[in-house]
Amino acid sequence: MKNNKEKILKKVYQLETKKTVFEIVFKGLTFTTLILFIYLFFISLIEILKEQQSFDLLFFFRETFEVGKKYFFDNLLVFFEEIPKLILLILLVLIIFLIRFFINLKKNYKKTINKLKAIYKFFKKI
Amino acid sequence: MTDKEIILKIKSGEIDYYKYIVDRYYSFVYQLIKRKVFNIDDIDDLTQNVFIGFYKNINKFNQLKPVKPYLYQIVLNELKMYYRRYKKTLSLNENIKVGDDDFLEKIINQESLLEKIFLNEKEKRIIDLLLTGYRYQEIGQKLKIPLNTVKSIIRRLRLKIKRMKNEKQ
Repeated sequence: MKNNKEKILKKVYQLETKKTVFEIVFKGLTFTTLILFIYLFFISLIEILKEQQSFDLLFFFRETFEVGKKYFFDNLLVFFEEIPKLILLILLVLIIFLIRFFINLKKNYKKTINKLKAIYKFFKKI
Repeated sequence: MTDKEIILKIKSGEIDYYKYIVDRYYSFVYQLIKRKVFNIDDIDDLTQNVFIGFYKNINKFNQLKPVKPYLYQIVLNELKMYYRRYKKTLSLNENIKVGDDDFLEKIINQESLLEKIFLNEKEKRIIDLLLTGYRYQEIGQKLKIPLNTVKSIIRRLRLKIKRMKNEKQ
Protein backbone atom coordinates (compact mmCIF):
# COMPACT_ATOMS: atom_id res chain seq x y z
CA MET A 1 0.00 0.00 0.00
CA LYS A 2 2.75 2.39 1.00
CA ASN A 3 4.71 1.38 -2.05
CA ASN A 4 1.76 2.14 -4.33
CA LYS A 5 1.27 5.55 -2.70
CA GLU A 6 4.91 6.33 -3.38
CA LYS A 7 4.49 5.22 -6.96
CA ILE A 8 1.51 7.55 -7.38
CA LEU A 9 3.47 10.48 -5.98
CA LYS A 10 6.48 9.66 -8.13
CA LYS A 11 4.29 9.58 -11.25
CA VAL A 12 2.65 12.87 -10.26
CA TYR A 13 6.05 14.49 -9.82
CA GLN A 14 7.32 13.11 -13.11
CA LEU A 15 4.23 14.42 -14.86
CA GLU A 16 4.60 17.82 -13.24
CA THR A 17 8.32 17.96 -14.03
CA LYS A 18 7.63 17.32 -17.70
CA LYS A 19 4.86 19.90 -17.74
CA THR A 20 6.92 22.55 -15.95
CA VAL A 21 10.02 22.03 -18.07
CA PHE A 22 7.94 22.22 -21.24
CA GLU A 23 6.25 25.38 -19.94
CA ILE A 24 9.57 27.05 -19.12
CA VAL A 25 11.13 26.13 -22.47
CA PHE A 26 8.02 27.24 -24.34
CA LYS A 27 7.90 30.55 -22.49
CA GLY A 28 11.60 31.12 -23.04
CA LEU A 29 11.26 30.48 -26.75
CA THR A 30 8.19 32.72 -27.01
CA PHE A 31 9.99 35.52 -25.20
CA THR A 32 13.09 35.22 -27.37
CA THR A 33 11.04 35.14 -30.57
CA LEU A 34 8.96 38.14 -29.56
CA ILE A 35 12.02 40.18 -28.59
CA LEU A 36 13.78 39.20 -31.83
CA PHE A 37 10.84 40.18 -34.01
CA ILE A 38 10.24 43.44 -32.13
CA TYR A 39 13.94 44.30 -32.56
CA LEU A 40 13.86 43.46 -36.28
CA PHE A 41 10.71 45.44 -36.98
CA PHE A 42 11.89 48.36 -34.87
CA ILE A 43 15.24 48.50 -36.67
CA SER A 44 13.59 48.31 -40.09
CA LEU A 45 11.11 51.05 -39.08
CA ILE A 46 13.95 53.33 -37.97
CA GLU A 47 15.90 52.59 -41.15
CA ILE A 48 12.93 53.46 -43.35
CA LEU A 49 12.34 56.69 -41.43
CA LYS A 50 16.03 57.57 -41.71
CA GLU A 51 15.96 56.89 -45.43
CA GLN A 52 12.88 59.07 -45.87
CA GLN A 53 14.53 61.74 -43.68
CA SER A 54 11.34 61.88 -41.70
CA PHE A 55 13.23 62.65 -38.48
CA ASP A 56 14.00 66.12 -39.88
CA LEU A 57 10.38 66.95 -39.13
CA LEU A 58 11.03 66.38 -35.44
CA PHE A 59 14.41 68.20 -35.38
CA PHE A 60 12.56 71.22 -36.64
CA PHE A 61 11.36 71.81 -33.04
CA ARG A 62 14.90 72.49 -31.86
CA GLU A 63 15.13 75.78 -33.74
CA THR A 64 12.88 78.29 -32.04
CA PHE A 65 10.21 77.50 -29.55
CA GLU A 66 7.66 79.86 -31.10
CA VAL A 67 7.99 78.45 -34.62
CA GLY A 68 7.99 74.92 -33.25
CA LYS A 69 4.85 75.57 -31.28
CA LYS A 70 3.13 77.05 -34.32
CA TYR A 71 3.80 74.10 -36.63
CA PHE A 72 3.81 71.38 -33.96
CA PHE A 73 0.62 69.55 -34.97
CA ASP A 74 1.21 69.98 -38.72
CA ASN A 75 4.65 68.43 -38.43
CA LEU A 76 3.46 65.65 -36.20
CA LEU A 77 0.71 64.83 -38.69
CA VAL A 78 3.14 64.73 -41.59
CA PHE A 79 5.52 62.58 -39.53
CA PHE A 80 2.80 60.01 -38.80
CA GLU A 81 1.76 59.98 -42.42
CA GLU A 82 5.30 59.12 -43.42
CA ILE A 83 5.59 56.17 -41.02
CA PRO A 84 5.09 52.81 -42.80
CA LYS A 85 1.72 51.79 -41.38
CA LEU A 86 2.00 48.01 -41.77
CA ILE A 87 5.30 47.76 -39.94
CA LEU A 88 4.01 50.03 -37.20
CA LEU A 89 0.90 47.89 -36.83
CA ILE A 90 2.89 44.66 -36.63
CA LEU A 91 5.21 46.28 -34.10
CA LEU A 92 2.27 47.39 -31.97
CA VAL A 93 0.71 43.93 -32.08
CA LEU A 94 4.00 42.35 -31.07
CA ILE A 95 4.39 44.80 -28.20
CA ILE A 96 0.86 44.00 -27.03
CA PHE A 97 1.73 40.29 -27.10
CA LEU A 98 4.87 41.00 -25.12
CA ILE A 99 2.90 42.94 -22.50
CA ARG A 100 0.35 40.13 -22.24
CA PHE A 101 3.18 37.65 -21.96
CA PHE A 102 4.67 39.60 -19.06
CA ILE A 103 1.29 39.86 -17.32
CA ASN A 104 0.83 36.08 -17.60
CA LEU A 105 4.38 35.51 -16.45
CA LYS A 106 3.81 37.68 -13.40
CA LYS A 107 0.54 35.91 -12.65
CA ASN A 108 2.09 32.44 -12.82
CA TYR A 109 5.49 33.33 -11.43
CA LYS A 110 4.77 32.28 -7.85
CA LYS A 111 3.07 29.08 -8.97
CA THR A 112 6.02 28.07 -11.16
CA ILE A 113 8.52 28.85 -8.40
CA ASN A 114 6.50 26.79 -5.91
CA LYS A 115 6.33 23.91 -8.36
CA LEU A 116 10.07 24.03 -9.00
CA LYS A 117 10.76 24.10 -5.26
CA ALA A 118 8.48 21.10 -4.66
CA ILE A 119 10.01 19.16 -7.56
CA TYR A 120 13.53 19.95 -6.34
CA LYS A 121 12.65 18.85 -2.80
CA PHE A 122 11.11 15.61 -4.01
CA PHE A 123 13.94 14.54 -6.29
CA LYS A 124 16.55 15.58 -3.74
CA LYS A 125 14.87 13.26 -1.23
CA ILE A 126 15.13 10.36 -3.69
CA MET B 1 -6.00 20.90 7.10
CA THR B 2 -9.23 20.78 5.08
CA ASP B 3 -9.55 19.48 1.54
CA LYS B 4 -10.28 22.99 0.31
CA GLU B 5 -7.03 24.34 1.76
CA ILE B 6 -5.06 21.44 0.33
CA ILE B 7 -6.56 21.88 -3.13
CA LEU B 8 -5.84 25.60 -3.04
CA LYS B 9 -2.24 24.91 -2.07
CA ILE B 10 -1.86 22.43 -4.93
CA LYS B 11 -3.41 24.90 -7.35
CA SER B 12 -0.87 27.50 -6.28
CA GLY B 13 1.94 25.14 -7.23
CA GLU B 14 2.73 23.48 -3.91
CA ILE B 15 2.35 19.99 -5.31
CA ASP B 16 3.85 18.32 -2.25
CA TYR B 17 0.44 18.78 -0.63
CA TYR B 18 -0.99 16.18 -3.00
CA LYS B 19 0.47 13.62 -0.60
CA TYR B 20 -2.30 14.51 1.87
CA ILE B 21 -4.99 13.86 -0.74
CA VAL B 22 -3.44 10.49 -1.56
CA ASP B 23 -3.16 9.59 2.13
CA ARG B 24 -6.70 10.64 2.87
CA TYR B 25 -8.49 8.93 0.00
CA TYR B 26 -6.24 6.04 -0.91
CA SER B 27 -8.12 3.38 1.05
CA PHE B 28 -11.49 4.70 -0.18
CA VAL B 29 -10.42 4.40 -3.83
CA TYR B 30 -8.65 1.12 -3.25
CA GLN B 31 -11.63 -0.53 -1.57
CA LEU B 32 -13.97 0.75 -4.26
CA ILE B 33 -11.86 -0.83 -7.01
CA LYS B 34 -11.26 -3.99 -5.00
CA ARG B 35 -14.98 -4.69 -5.02
CA LYS B 36 -15.01 -4.97 -8.80
CA VAL B 37 -11.51 -6.08 -9.77
CA PHE B 38 -9.84 -9.14 -8.32
CA ASN B 39 -6.32 -8.94 -9.65
CA ILE B 40 -4.06 -7.17 -7.15
CA ASP B 41 -1.80 -5.68 -9.84
CA ASP B 42 -4.79 -4.32 -11.72
CA ILE B 43 -6.19 -2.80 -8.52
CA ASP B 44 -2.89 -1.04 -7.90
CA ASP B 45 -2.72 0.18 -11.49
CA LEU B 46 -6.28 1.46 -11.45
CA THR B 47 -5.72 3.23 -8.12
CA GLN B 48 -2.69 4.93 -9.61
CA ASN B 49 -4.67 5.96 -12.68
CA VAL B 50 -7.44 7.43 -10.52
CA PHE B 51 -5.08 9.62 -8.51
CA ILE B 52 -3.09 10.68 -11.55
CA GLY B 53 -6.33 11.49 -13.37
CA PHE B 54 -7.47 13.57 -10.43
CA TYR B 55 -4.17 15.41 -10.33
CA LYS B 56 -4.32 16.16 -14.06
CA ASN B 57 -7.73 17.79 -13.64
CA ILE B 58 -7.11 19.46 -10.31
CA ASN B 59 -6.98 22.93 -11.87
CA LYS B 60 -10.50 22.46 -13.21
CA PHE B 61 -11.75 21.08 -9.89
CA ASN B 62 -13.84 23.42 -7.81
CA GLN B 63 -12.36 23.36 -4.31
CA LEU B 64 -15.74 24.26 -2.79
CA LYS B 65 -17.10 20.88 -3.84
CA PRO B 66 -16.26 17.65 -1.98
CA VAL B 67 -13.45 15.48 -3.31
CA LYS B 68 -15.03 12.08 -2.66
CA PRO B 69 -17.80 12.17 -5.31
CA TYR B 70 -15.32 13.44 -7.88
CA LEU B 71 -12.93 10.59 -7.11
CA TYR B 72 -15.84 8.16 -7.16
CA GLN B 73 -16.71 9.30 -10.69
CA ILE B 74 -13.11 8.90 -11.81
CA VAL B 75 -13.09 5.38 -10.33
CA LEU B 76 -16.26 4.52 -12.27
CA ASN B 77 -14.75 5.79 -15.50
CA GLU B 78 -11.54 3.89 -14.90
CA LEU B 79 -13.50 0.71 -14.22
CA LYS B 80 -15.50 1.19 -17.40
CA MET B 81 -12.30 1.59 -19.38
CA TYR B 82 -10.79 -1.42 -17.63
CA TYR B 83 -13.74 -3.64 -18.55
CA ARG B 84 -13.76 -2.36 -22.09
CA ARG B 85 -10.08 -3.19 -22.40
CA TYR B 86 -10.53 -6.74 -21.18
CA LYS B 87 -13.82 -7.46 -22.92
CA LYS B 88 -13.66 -10.66 -24.91
CA THR B 89 -13.46 -9.86 -28.59
CA LEU B 90 -13.44 -11.92 -31.73
CA SER B 91 -10.08 -11.41 -33.32
CA LEU B 92 -10.01 -10.24 -36.89
CA ASN B 93 -6.81 -11.68 -38.13
CA GLU B 94 -6.27 -10.58 -41.68
CA ASN B 95 -4.15 -13.62 -42.42
CA ILE B 96 -7.14 -15.95 -42.05
CA LYS B 97 -7.90 -17.41 -45.44
CA VAL B 98 -11.21 -18.97 -46.25
CA GLY B 99 -9.51 -22.27 -46.91
CA ASP B 100 -8.02 -22.26 -43.44
CA ASP B 101 -11.09 -20.94 -41.76
CA ASP B 102 -12.97 -24.20 -41.46
CA PHE B 103 -15.83 -22.74 -39.55
CA LEU B 104 -16.55 -19.99 -42.05
CA GLU B 105 -16.05 -22.32 -45.03
CA LYS B 106 -18.37 -24.98 -43.66
CA ILE B 107 -21.05 -22.52 -42.78
CA ILE B 108 -20.82 -20.61 -46.01
CA ASN B 109 -21.12 -23.84 -47.94
CA GLN B 110 -24.38 -24.62 -46.17
CA GLU B 111 -26.47 -22.69 -48.65
CA SER B 112 -29.65 -23.43 -46.76
CA LEU B 113 -28.32 -21.60 -43.74
CA LEU B 114 -26.92 -18.79 -45.81
CA GLU B 115 -30.26 -18.22 -47.49
CA LYS B 116 -31.95 -17.74 -44.16
CA ILE B 117 -29.60 -14.94 -43.22
CA PHE B 118 -30.58 -11.63 -44.63
CA LEU B 119 -27.60 -10.29 -46.56
CA ASN B 120 -27.36 -6.95 -48.25
CA GLU B 121 -25.61 -6.40 -51.58
CA LYS B 122 -22.30 -5.46 -50.08
CA GLU B 123 -22.25 -8.47 -47.77
CA LYS B 124 -23.15 -10.79 -50.66
CA ARG B 125 -20.33 -9.38 -52.72
CA ILE B 126 -17.84 -9.78 -49.89
CA ILE B 127 -18.91 -13.40 -49.37
CA ASP B 128 -18.49 -14.10 -53.08
CA LEU B 129 -15.03 -12.59 -53.15
CA LEU B 130 -14.09 -14.41 -49.97
CA LEU B 131 -15.17 -17.71 -51.51
CA THR B 132 -13.10 -17.04 -54.62
CA GLY B 133 -10.06 -16.75 -52.40
CA TYR B 134 -9.53 -13.01 -52.10
CA ARG B 135 -7.82 -11.63 -49.03
CA TYR B 136 -9.42 -8.93 -46.86
CA GLN B 137 -7.14 -6.22 -48.22
CA GLU B 138 -7.85 -7.23 -51.81
CA ILE B 139 -11.59 -7.22 -51.14
CA GLY B 140 -11.27 -3.73 -49.71
CA GLN B 141 -9.38 -2.53 -52.76
CA LYS B 142 -11.83 -4.18 -55.13
CA LEU B 143 -14.93 -2.77 -53.47
CA LYS B 144 -13.21 0.53 -52.64
CA ILE B 145 -13.92 0.27 -48.94
CA PRO B 146 -11.46 0.51 -46.07
CA LEU B 147 -9.86 -2.65 -44.73
CA ASN B 148 -11.39 -2.14 -41.30
CA THR B 149 -14.87 -1.95 -42.82
CA VAL B 150 -14.27 -5.28 -44.58
CA LYS B 151 -13.09 -6.76 -41.31
CA SER B 152 -16.09 -5.51 -39.38
CA ILE B 153 -18.57 -6.67 -42.05
CA ILE B 154 -17.00 -10.13 -41.99
CA ARG B 155 -17.05 -10.14 -38.23
CA ARG B 156 -20.74 -9.24 -38.24
CA LEU B 157 -21.39 -12.03 -40.74
CA ARG B 158 -19.56 -14.54 -38.60
CA LEU B 159 -21.61 -13.52 -35.61
CA LYS B 160 -24.84 -13.73 -37.62
CA ILE B 161 -23.97 -17.21 -38.84
CA LYS B 162 -22.93 -18.34 -35.38
CA ARG B 163 -26.19 -17.07 -33.92
CA MET B 164 -28.18 -18.82 -36.64
CA LYS B 165 -26.29 -22.02 -36.03
CA ASN B 166 -26.94 -21.86 -32.30
CA GLU B 167 -30.63 -21.25 -32.91
CA LYS B 168 -30.76 -24.23 -35.22
CA GLN B 169 -29.18 -26.45 -32.62
